[in-house]
Amino acid sequence: MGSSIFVQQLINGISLGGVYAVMAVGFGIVFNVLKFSNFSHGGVVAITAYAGYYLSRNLISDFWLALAATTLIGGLAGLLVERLVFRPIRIAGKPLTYFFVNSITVAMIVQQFFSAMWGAHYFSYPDFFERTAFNISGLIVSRTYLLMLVISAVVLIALTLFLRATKLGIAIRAASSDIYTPPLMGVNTDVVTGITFLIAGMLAGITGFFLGMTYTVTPFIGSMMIKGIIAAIIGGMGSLAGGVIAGILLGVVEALLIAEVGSSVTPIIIYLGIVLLLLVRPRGIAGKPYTVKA
Amino acid sequence: MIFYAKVLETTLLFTMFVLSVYMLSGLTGLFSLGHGAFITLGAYTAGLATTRFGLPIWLAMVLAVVVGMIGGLIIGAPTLKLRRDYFLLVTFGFGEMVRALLLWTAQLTGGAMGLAGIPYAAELPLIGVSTLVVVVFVANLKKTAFGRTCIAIRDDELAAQAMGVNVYAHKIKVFLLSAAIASYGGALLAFNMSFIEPNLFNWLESAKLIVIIFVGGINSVTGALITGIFYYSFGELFRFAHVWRDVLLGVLVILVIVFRTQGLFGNWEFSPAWIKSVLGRKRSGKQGA
Amino acid sequence: MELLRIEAISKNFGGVAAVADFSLSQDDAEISAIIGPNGAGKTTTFNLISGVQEVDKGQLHFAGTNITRFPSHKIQALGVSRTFQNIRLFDGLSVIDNVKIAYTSQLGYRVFDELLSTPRVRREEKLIEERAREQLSFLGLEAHAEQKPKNLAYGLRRRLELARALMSAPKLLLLDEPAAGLNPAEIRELMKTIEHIHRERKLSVIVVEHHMELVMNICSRIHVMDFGRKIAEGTPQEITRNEKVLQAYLGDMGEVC
Repeated sequence: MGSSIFVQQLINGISLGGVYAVMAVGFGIVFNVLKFSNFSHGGVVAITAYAGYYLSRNLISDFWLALAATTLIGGLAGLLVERLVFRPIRIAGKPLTYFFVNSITVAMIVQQFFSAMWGAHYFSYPDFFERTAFNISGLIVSRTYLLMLVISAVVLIALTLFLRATKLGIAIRAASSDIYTPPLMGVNTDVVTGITFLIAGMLAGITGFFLGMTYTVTPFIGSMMIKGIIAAIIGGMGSLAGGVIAGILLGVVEALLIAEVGSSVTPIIIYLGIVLLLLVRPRGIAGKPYTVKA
Repeated sequence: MIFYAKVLETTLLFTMFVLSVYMLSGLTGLFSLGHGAFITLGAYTAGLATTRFGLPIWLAMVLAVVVGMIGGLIIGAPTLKLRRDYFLLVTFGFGEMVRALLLWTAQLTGGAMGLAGIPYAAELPLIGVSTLVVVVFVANLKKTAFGRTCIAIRDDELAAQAMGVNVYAHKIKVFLLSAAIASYGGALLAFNMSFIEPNLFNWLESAKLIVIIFVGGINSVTGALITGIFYYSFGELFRFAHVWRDVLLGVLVILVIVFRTQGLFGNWEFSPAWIKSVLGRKRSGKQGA
Repeated sequence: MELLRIEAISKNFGGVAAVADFSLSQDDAEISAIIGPNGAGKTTTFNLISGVQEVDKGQLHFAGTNITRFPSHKIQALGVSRTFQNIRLFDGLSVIDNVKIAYTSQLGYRVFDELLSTPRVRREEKLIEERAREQLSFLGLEAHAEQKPKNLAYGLRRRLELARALMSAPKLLLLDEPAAGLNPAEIRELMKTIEHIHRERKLSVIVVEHHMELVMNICSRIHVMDFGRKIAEGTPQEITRNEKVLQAYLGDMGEVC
């Protein structure tokens, strides 16, 4: 691999890694508060990928407006899923198992709904910009990738500020250690979980839009979420910062592996790597081990 | 007639897959989102053993089960010690990995083109008997210490461990048993369809096996059995409604979990004891009248 | 004869010492108590003895075996059984099946027998059933055998935990706040039950308890903990007269003295 191709792959990897990081955080924030693996996140990603396609092809030609609208749709979808699927069982105090089952069911409904509606069609986003790539001293940098990287970074920084500096954000962080501690900074539990899903949904919206732009939109686009989940595991379940680092790392490793050994062996190496990691250091990069109270 | 026999064969095979997941997910509360990988592994082992290496059918089946269990051990050993989510997420990855592995080794496995020409050796009698045996096995396990231990682990791992249960060892046992049944079923599938391909089972198929159990009720083998038979025979009979069927199933799952968490069948089991109690009730009812 | 010997065990949680240099020796036929203010490390001590948590430092010996690094299921198999402060029953199992679980470590049949439901399984299941019913009737729960634990009254749930703990015929029984949430009549009954168990089954009992009447009446030896350390040990009479204890603990529980 020549050095310029290497740098090229590195940049692509970091950009895709940024999207994985956003996905890992969207997955992780719900995991932190409700303590279950939320597969419905992939469903919301798929919904927004389709919504973003529809909006940008038919209604909004401006990239920023289309992205904003899709993010909003993602947030609303997240809220709706929480309201219809998770809130009833949370209020009834059902075990975590049922949260998980409902979440894969949502992912399944979404995927099969799109399969039934447009299973045979593959959709691709319009080109938002006339110039699709920059030439920076011999390196070709895709505009989409650059935007993905910058926007992911801005979003993650904004989210960090929100979680640290606002009352709601602090309540969400408090809920992450124990949602059933009564006075979550005076914010009620329903609001905290609602906001958590809203944020996760918005992050899914951004992810869905970018994935739609990068690949074609198919009913299976939601299963791209596996990348976010892998990042969450490597980063350490429960650590958002770990998820971000691991997401970028995963993007880079993946891009370099694809360039070096090809796209068919890459997933095998990555999955084996995860199994090994769990053997050696199950808590991931930054996660704390879970302790069970007796 | 041939059509209905085919429907029955497929339904029975898939019901066997549901049962392979029942102990793991229903009783023990462990979710394998890559369970289809064991079915695929079993199918490919059996297919390759017969077409490429000319092994006899029975040996191919044994080999399929062994390979499935080895796969289970590789995935289970590191993850079953950890919080359940890790198991879930790694099995999900395992499903993808097996698929990638089959595509990568295209020279041997045929890759995306699939593997054809597998001898047609699994007909209705073999499939029927196999399914029946699995039903009996699972029912037997559920009513003895094995099943009790599964439920105890599902409800409270820490308490189970303090009451003398080796939680890790038991989880491994359950998972290996489940992998063995799945890969055996996979071998039967290969010998029944004669053609297999890497996308036979994606995560969705694995997820369906799990949610079907929740519709029937996690405490009822009978529920899993009936829901499974109903769902898969319906799907085979009305192929055109294939995808919408899954949307319906999904809506049903959520309705059941929200409004009837114990599942449609609750704790009910179809068993000799139940028949006796029903007959007994009738008799005493007559005496009263 | 000495049954349990704890040698200077310590356990830290995130830098905070939950248990520090705690030692204890328990005879095979005594009832003793560990008392102390909330957060003194009593439950953690139980978790360490039963292997639910691992000690950082120190050693545990039970019936001549070093059990320091044993997982809890092995410790249970050696003869240590326990109850939990915040009742931990298996809600998916019937009352009698909850009791049967504690027999797992003594099980004679294997998975293979179970698959085929061999006569051996049926024979042993019958035995387990009898033994579980024995425990239930011993604690007056036989009428509820087929119910789910969730449907039992609180006091009965506590008793069910006790029945489950007795199923394995332990040598040492650890009771974590058995009187918590019970009314005075139930507590008196509990005291009788504990003494009865102790006499009938000849086992050694350690209770962690806040209820002083229970502790003073049934225990022959009391260990007092404060901030993870043992600050006193003695008979009930000695403890009530101990200056340190009065200062640290009993000072605000005037009714005892």
